[in-house]
Amino acid sequence: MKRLKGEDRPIRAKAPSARYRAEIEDGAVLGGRCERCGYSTAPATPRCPGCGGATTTARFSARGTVWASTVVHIPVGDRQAPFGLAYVDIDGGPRVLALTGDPASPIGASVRLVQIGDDLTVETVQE
Amino acid sequence: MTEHAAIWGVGTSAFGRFPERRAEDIAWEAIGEALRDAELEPADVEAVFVGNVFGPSGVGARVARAAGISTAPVIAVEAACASGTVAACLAIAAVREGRHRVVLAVGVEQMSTRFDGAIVPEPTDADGAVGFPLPALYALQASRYLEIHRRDVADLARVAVKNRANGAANPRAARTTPVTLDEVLESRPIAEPLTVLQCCPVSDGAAAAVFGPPRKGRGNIGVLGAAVTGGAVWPAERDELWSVACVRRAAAAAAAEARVDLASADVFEVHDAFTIGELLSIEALGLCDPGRAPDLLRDGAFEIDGRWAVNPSGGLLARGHPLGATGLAQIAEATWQLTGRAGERQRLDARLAVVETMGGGASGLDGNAAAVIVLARTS
Repeated sequence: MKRLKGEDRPIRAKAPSARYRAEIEDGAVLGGRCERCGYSTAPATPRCPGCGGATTTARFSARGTVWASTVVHIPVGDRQAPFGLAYVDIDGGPRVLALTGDPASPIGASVRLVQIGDDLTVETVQE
Repeated sequence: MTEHAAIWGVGTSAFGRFPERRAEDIAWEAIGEALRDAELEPADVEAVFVGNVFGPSGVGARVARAAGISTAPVIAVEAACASGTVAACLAIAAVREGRHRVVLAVGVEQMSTRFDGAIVPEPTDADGAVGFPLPALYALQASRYLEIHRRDVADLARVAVKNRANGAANPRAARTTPVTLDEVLESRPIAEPLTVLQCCPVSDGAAAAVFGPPRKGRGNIGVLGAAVTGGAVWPAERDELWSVACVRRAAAAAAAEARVDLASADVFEVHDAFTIGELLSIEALGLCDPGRAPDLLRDGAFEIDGRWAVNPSGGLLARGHPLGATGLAQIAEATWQLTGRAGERQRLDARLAVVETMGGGASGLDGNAAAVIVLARTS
């Protein structure tokens, strides 16, 4: 599987406001979980977007299952085409959007998420 | 609610790429036609709701200035692709509540001066930060749809074939040539499985509708139901494709208000920004079970003379998708259909029409907004 390496990616201007995107720290996906209904998100939100309950920060497994995937054939911003994108349902955690290679990981594939530069990127797990 | 609301007149601009024009001139094309249709003067307009996404800021005031509408409050509404429909819902509410008698809803968008191609969601949101173009959001739904319902990409592509054929009878559409199934499938890939002919063209345009209480002695287009829903969490407990629950909420609210089964309508103008979107909208509106729309499509159920005429205008795939204008362009088409003014694309004896628009892009929500309006020919 082809992946963009950190040093191959061009330098981009800083975003004009605080970051709001899923990130991995020490092998865990950082996010939040609702104390009332248990709904999880990555990144965290101040209140649960589902029920309005209070949330706490949470660390989720970086393992999950591909819910859907595509290969994009148009350049987007600084990203050259083609590149793959997948929604990954994290085990016991939220659904996140991550980069994949081309061809994209098939639906139902077990994957691990790793952080490469700013991006969550999908690695296929050998069964 | 003290009043019923009716459509007094509608109008649209041409749709296409007009980078050399000004947004307010495009808007006037639509407003002028709507005022003539309603037999009104600009001074009769008491309030204006403007559907617009990408500005520029102040575009509403300039639209009103160009149209000769003075001192009326001009309120801009942004709800992604549903902006125009939400503006119409606010205009309808203002009439129903008796706050104003004559209310203009107008949508305008100049996309060609802003985008070379696909819209990229706001980069300060989680998915947008990844570099997530709108076609990819729909492509992910399409990939899942094909997998879980064991469908083929041709099942998606047939939506484009139907809508481009309808658009060929719509002289205002951005795309007025029909396309074959092979052409759709073999066109350049954008985000798999979506090819470029399965994506709406980047277009400029405007559309407008004048709302007021029903007028005596005239045939009226009555607003039976008009509902807007905001987004809810996605994914949710029920594992569904993105947008479906959002559209279903708006549809249920509009149907309840209208006291009709939406499946009893003849004409549907629905959100086909991408081919998969039309299938999802049809299913979310309750016309068939999930995964069944491709069969009905292939059997001709959604043709102009089929069981339900879906996107007789050509939809967003042919007309184009100037975001803020789209909802009002759908309302204009529904009105023309209900008043027998749709020319070669006329659905015979259309009596009940449903407009559905889906706006999205915010990460983790099943939509930013969805709006559904039910319109009926009344004597």
